[in-house]
Amino acid sequence: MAAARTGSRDAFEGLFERYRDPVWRFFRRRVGEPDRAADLAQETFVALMRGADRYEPRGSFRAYLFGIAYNVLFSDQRNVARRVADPLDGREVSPAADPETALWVRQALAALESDDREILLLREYEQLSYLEIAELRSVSLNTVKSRLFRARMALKAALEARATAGMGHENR
Amino acid sequence: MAYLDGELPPDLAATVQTHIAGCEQCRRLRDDLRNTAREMMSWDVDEPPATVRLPPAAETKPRTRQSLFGVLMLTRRFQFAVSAGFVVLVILVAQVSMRTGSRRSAASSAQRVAYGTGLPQPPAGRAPVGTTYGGAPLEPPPPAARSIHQAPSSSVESVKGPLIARTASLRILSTDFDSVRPALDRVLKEVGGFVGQIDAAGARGEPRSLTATLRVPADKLDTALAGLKRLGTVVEESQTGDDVTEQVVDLDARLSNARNTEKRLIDLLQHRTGKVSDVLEAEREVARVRGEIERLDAQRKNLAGRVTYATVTLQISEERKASLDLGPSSMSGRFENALLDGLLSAFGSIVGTVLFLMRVGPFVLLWVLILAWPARLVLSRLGRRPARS
Repeated sequence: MAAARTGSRDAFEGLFERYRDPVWRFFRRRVGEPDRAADLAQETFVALMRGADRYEPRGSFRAYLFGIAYNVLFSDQRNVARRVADPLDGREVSPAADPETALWVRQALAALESDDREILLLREYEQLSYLEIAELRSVSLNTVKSRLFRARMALKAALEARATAGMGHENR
Repeated sequence: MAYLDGELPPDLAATVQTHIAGCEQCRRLRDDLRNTAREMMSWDVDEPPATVRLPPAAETKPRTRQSLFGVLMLTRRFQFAVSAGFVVLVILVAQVSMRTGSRRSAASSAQRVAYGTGLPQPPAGRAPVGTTYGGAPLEPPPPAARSIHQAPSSSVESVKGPLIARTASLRILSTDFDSVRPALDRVLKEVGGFVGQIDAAGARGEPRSLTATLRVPADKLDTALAGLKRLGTVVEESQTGDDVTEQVVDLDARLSNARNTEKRLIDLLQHRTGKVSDVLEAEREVARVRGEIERLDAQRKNLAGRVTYATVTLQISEERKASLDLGPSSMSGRFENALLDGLLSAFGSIVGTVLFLMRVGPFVLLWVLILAWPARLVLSRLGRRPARS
């Protein structure tokens, strides 16, 4: 990013290659339509590069990048007046090897509190550290830990309930 | 959990690992959480499409800053605040225009003080020719006055000493405006002066003013000024003396010459004979000279009037006092008046606002309807920038 600040095209390419998939997946899991997710991902990189000269390396670059992504997401939701991203949007075609489990995961995530869900997503899918999550969400480290624990326990309970229900069906 | 996420320092992680190895419950929790994390990974998403690509250089150049106003206009709260502020401004403007209009009509309908009925007539025989009063020729002036009223002789020696046309102006602030007019009349009567022009304005409850042009005998000017100054506090005073001696001498000389010319022409017509054309020419010349004489005579008399009677420009303003505004002296009466005024004012403001909206409403509505769709289009495009690749 330091090189990108000077306008180096190669530096931009390197950043893009490294974060293209994570940014895309960030939006894909939060926005129902693939086209819209692609637009938002593209907007994020455009915003990143336009603001490169103003970037100051204060903290984690990933937190900075996903901060831009959140701003783009919220701006899009405000302007288009859509509902909050629904992970249960059935239009998504998941390439998961176990689509049934994927559907259960999405349903369980949808049942979580939005703040807890976001922190869990950032930890599990975006692979951000506790510190990066705290910086991105503007909360304390302890808040990140407690919410993450609460979210995981809730998700675990939901998946266990599903497993129990599945076994009940099999025993009939 | 921090142990599972690799967030613990190495020494603490080792401690936790040792504990887990010896604790069945913690081991089970660890395994459950790992399973949960594994199951979460089953929710994978497809590969990014080709539209997610490295933006071209032109698109990544820093955008010129949108004006603060432009950014703010995109937010609905600011739009609402601007709209609300505009409505409040419209109501305030309507109120101000209503009140200004009512004040102007009150001022214009306020009666000019009926000073005309009490205008004093100039002293009989004292009004110089050329004033609105006209009148009888001047009486022979007192010996002290300059003698320029008699028919001029052919010599300029008849003019003795300088001839001064005196003027004065006074601006006075009066606390008792009602007594100004009678006091002014008294002063003028004492000195033998008269009012050339008078103008008064102002309604009750508002500061009144009076502007007058007075003519007073030149030798009584100081007495007249002293009397006028007692009408109030002198704010401004000035006096001038215009030496018109040379003008009078010149006029006298020209008049004398013109009269002599006229006399000769008349003698010529009476005693000489000649062609008819010559006679007609002589008569035309007599008429021309006669006109010249009349004009010069009028100028001379005007100068005579200015010298004999000094001109005083008087301006009296009422010193504003709140107590001049009439109203019941009792508190209950004042409260009642205030309440009624308040109700009238409130009703008036509602009516005024409704009238204003009825006048402006159709126009505004028309243009809002015309411009609403294009405005929405522009705003939605602004919101979607940067453009899709």
